Amino acid sequence: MTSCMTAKENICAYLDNELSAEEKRLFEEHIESCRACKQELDEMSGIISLCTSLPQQELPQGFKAELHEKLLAVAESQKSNVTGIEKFKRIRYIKMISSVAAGLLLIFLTGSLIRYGFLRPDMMAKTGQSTALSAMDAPAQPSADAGVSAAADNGAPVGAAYGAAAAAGSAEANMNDAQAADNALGIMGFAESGTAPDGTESDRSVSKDRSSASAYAASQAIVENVSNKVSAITITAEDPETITGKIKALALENNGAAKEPVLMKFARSLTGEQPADQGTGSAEAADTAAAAAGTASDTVAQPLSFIIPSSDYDRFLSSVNEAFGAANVQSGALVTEDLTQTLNEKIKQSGDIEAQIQELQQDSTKNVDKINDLKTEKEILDDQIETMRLDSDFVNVTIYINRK
Amino acid sequence: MSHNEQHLLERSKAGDAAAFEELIEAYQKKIFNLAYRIVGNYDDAADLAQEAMIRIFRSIANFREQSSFSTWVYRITTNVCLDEIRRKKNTRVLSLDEEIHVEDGEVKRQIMSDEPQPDEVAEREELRSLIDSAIKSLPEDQRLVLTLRDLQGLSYEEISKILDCPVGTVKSRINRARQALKNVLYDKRELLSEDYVK
Repeated sequence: MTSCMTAKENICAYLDNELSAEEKRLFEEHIESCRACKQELDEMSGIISLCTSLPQQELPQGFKAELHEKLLAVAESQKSNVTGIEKFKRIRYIKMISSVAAGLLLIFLTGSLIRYGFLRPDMMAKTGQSTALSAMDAPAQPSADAGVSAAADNGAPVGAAYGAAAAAGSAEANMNDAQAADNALGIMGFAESGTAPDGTESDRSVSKDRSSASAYAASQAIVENVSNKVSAITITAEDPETITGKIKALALENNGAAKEPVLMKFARSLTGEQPADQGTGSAEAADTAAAAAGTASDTVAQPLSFIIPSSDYDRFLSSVNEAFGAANVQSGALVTEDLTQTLNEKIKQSGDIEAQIQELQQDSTKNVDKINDLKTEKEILDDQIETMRLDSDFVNVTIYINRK
Repeated sequence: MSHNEQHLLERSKAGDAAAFEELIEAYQKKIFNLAYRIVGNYDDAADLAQEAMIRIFRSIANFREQSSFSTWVYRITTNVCLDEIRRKKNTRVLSLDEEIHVEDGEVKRQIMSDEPQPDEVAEREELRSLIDSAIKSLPEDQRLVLTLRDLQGLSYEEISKILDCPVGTVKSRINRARQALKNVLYDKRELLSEDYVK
């Protein structure tokens, strides 16, 4: 015979139909003979029916729409399974190809247009006015000669290359690289076809160009919001040499990538050299980076640097905690530095230099050295701007490993 | 899981947001209500329900289909909400006291404003609002099992999987929760009838 105590413990399970056949039989037997427990059962049954009859809350207004937006954002970030470093490389690559192609196209276009006389100077000036605006900061070259020499010096005019990279960047989720490069070339071609051999006409197109550059900077000031996010993690391990691989794997799992030192990155972009490790293991870049920056021969003393998409940072941190034990992982606060103002200043500076270059090229004396210096300066600036924009979506994580 | 659901699941695993939305549609309200029961606040529940669904979408590729999809979904929702509660507890020590205080006020207000009606429907409504606040006053672990059982209609087995604890624990928690609920309600009812007599 079941005791009242056992019966009371089983009342809920009985009502929820969660007792075994044997338990159920014993329980019912007890209820038949015990009035107190029978009353308890009835009361409990009332409570349960109250609970189950509680109405469900309706979803708040706009709940689904909000969720929809958030899900799309997540899907987008997952779809671009391209890690940060690959993004850098891809843009560099497009930049290089489009620079060369733009140069060739320029020679071809200006040459053939003039030769076949398709465009009379006054017509060309007209085209120049409308396209200089649409091509934003693509420079209008005063003459075909200057354009060609610029292409030979630097691969292509800097502003145009930047435009190409920007177009490629915004289009890269939907378009393949070749298309993006084509697009960029399209812009180039238009801007260049507007160049007039006539001196007075080119003056006008230069001033157009300058105003469009500043308008560009102004529009950037409104929409763009960039920041630099930095975080440091210290991991204590008995055997530091053995865990670096694991850390890299975790970073890769969370869409992160090993980070190259800025100087190396810049050197590569200038030479147009393709990093050897493209495609598969960008984690290897950490080794290269460590070796390049290498002051100490002990690689373990060398901190590991990664860039991790901001949206994946929390997940990365918790997987590191999980892998090495929370007690061995010390993570500093995620420091966010707002760089919007700096970026806008750089954009403005870049526009100013561009204008200066234009002016110098108008000058009959043509100080080539000075022009080249300015071009280099602008290229560095544009590189910094581009890096700031890309970095904004990522957290720079430095991982220090201590021996236990 | 129906054939269609299975198909949607596969597409969701491949990162298809539209398929995921269709898949989660049937669970949205339940997820929201579960969150609402756990945190006891409409606005927080909306945020947490969305966060839970985002987390579900993010990790759906890792869903091994060893448990049922609904169990897995509720488990994630529960974890998201409990994390939030823990986070809040760390920042606000007094929250528990405040909650009880507010609840009492709310219950009183409702008693005062509602004219005593012999109408059975009205009485049931009153009981519902009583039980609503009574559930809120339960300890977290009991509130959770009760919600999963009575609002979501899950079996003890499923609840044990969601909370990652033995079935026996689920059983005793449900028992204790309902017992506590009963006591609260019966005490309140006595108070009520005294008020009416006056």
